[in-house]
Amino acid sequence: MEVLFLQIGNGLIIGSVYALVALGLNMIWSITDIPDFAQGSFYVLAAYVGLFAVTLAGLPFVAALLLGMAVGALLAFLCERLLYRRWRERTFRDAARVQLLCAIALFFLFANVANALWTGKPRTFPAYMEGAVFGFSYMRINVLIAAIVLFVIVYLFIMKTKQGKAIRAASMDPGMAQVLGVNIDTVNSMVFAIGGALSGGAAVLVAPLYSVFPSMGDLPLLKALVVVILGGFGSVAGVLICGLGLGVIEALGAMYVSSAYQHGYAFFILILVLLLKPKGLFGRV
Amino acid sequence: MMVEVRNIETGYGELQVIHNVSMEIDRHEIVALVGANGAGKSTLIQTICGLLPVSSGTIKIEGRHIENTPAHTIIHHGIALVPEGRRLFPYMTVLENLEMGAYVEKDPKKVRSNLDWVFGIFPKLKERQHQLAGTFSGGEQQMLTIGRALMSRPKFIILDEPSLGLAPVIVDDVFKVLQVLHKEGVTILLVEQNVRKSLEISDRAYVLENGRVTMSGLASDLLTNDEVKKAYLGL
Repeated sequence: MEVLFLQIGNGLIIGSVYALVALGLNMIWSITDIPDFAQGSFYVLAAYVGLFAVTLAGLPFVAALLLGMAVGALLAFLCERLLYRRWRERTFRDAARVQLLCAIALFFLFANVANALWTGKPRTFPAYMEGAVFGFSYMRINVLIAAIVLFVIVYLFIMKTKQGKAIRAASMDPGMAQVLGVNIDTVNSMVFAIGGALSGGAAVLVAPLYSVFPSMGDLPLLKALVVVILGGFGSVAGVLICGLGLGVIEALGAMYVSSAYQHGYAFFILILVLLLKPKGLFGRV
Repeated sequence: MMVEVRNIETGYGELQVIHNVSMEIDRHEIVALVGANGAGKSTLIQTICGLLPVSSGTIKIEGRHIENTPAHTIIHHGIALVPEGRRLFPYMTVLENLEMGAYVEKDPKKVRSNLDWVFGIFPKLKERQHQLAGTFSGGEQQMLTIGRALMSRPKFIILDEPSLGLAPVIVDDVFKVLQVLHKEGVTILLVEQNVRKSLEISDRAYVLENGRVTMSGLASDLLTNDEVKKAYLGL
């Protein structure tokens, strides 16, 4: 029973990481039609920046977290501004395909930049907090709490602020939003920056629990893609529920079925959902 | 002159749809744009709203050139659009849709007073302001679309097929609202498949065929014109 409780808790914690990356991906994807795989490499770079902020600059963890988020936001913003936007401005038939290839290329490029600069050797992110409660270290619990806080902030931003409403309007009908005075370029910049900040934040939050290495973004990116597809486009609540749910299913699957398939459960569920409910579990919020 | 369209040519990529179209709309006029499906009415409107670039020609609003300026800047010239198919934001509430109509208005007091003005014209929108727009009936959605366009207090409003798919009673309501706006001094360009009704309330009209203006003049003259009668009034 206690093991079950622990597994569910660990599932929620890792699930909240998937959910954070997925929220950014979902916003970018539903508004700009770009599946921004590069988010997986911003995750890696932000983790290294957070690591160096703590180990080399001696900054406190919260500062490293904010720095990681800022780096993620900046990288995502620049990629949109300098690359994706060019293809969108030239309205030719294959723009979407070029953007997709560009996203995949950026993902490999940045992950390999990390490999070239800092080698493939996993580095330990020093613990920033001691102690545990109910068998969960405070650092683990912080991941879940921080993820939920970030979700609430993003939710309030897109539901309550003027800029957030413009983002939602643009996601439903970009042409009409423009006629009403919404600058689509600004909206795109905003969602990319938000997405990058969420990926960067997720990476720094989870780094002290595992370690930092160049391919650390692969699995979170793939799981986040599954969460986006399961949760349905444009649904903040759907992303949170699917992200946490996926984490729990993986943890329970590892416990009751086999841990050898731990990373396969996500894709098994994805195939099932695509067969039975291809629009995703939640549609839209 | 409110709107001056001079010799514009436009279309989608290689496909040219609008050929050398010119059009003028004076302040406080209601002008009807009449034409069959595929004549290029919507293309012309999208071009005026900046959603399509012109390949040649000019569009001026109160003397200022707006051709080929980004779509999101057009509203600053006092233009509002009631688009074909309504194009509301279905997962936003009625109030949020109206707020989007006043997106460029920075002064919250003005937004508030515009909202009161719109609620005065459409009391039903006030009652149901927290409902999602996508759950409205067709007629209610059309009122909301017009309300959203009015939220920027436009000088010039373009309505693209506002009565399409609505019950006759609702169509009457829509036309009544247009007359109210006309009295308030708003300049109106009306594109309607209901040609008789639109000519009856308009000052002047243009007939568009295959992307060219083939006839124009006083709406009352066109109502009695034999060709218009045959082609558009089913007489």
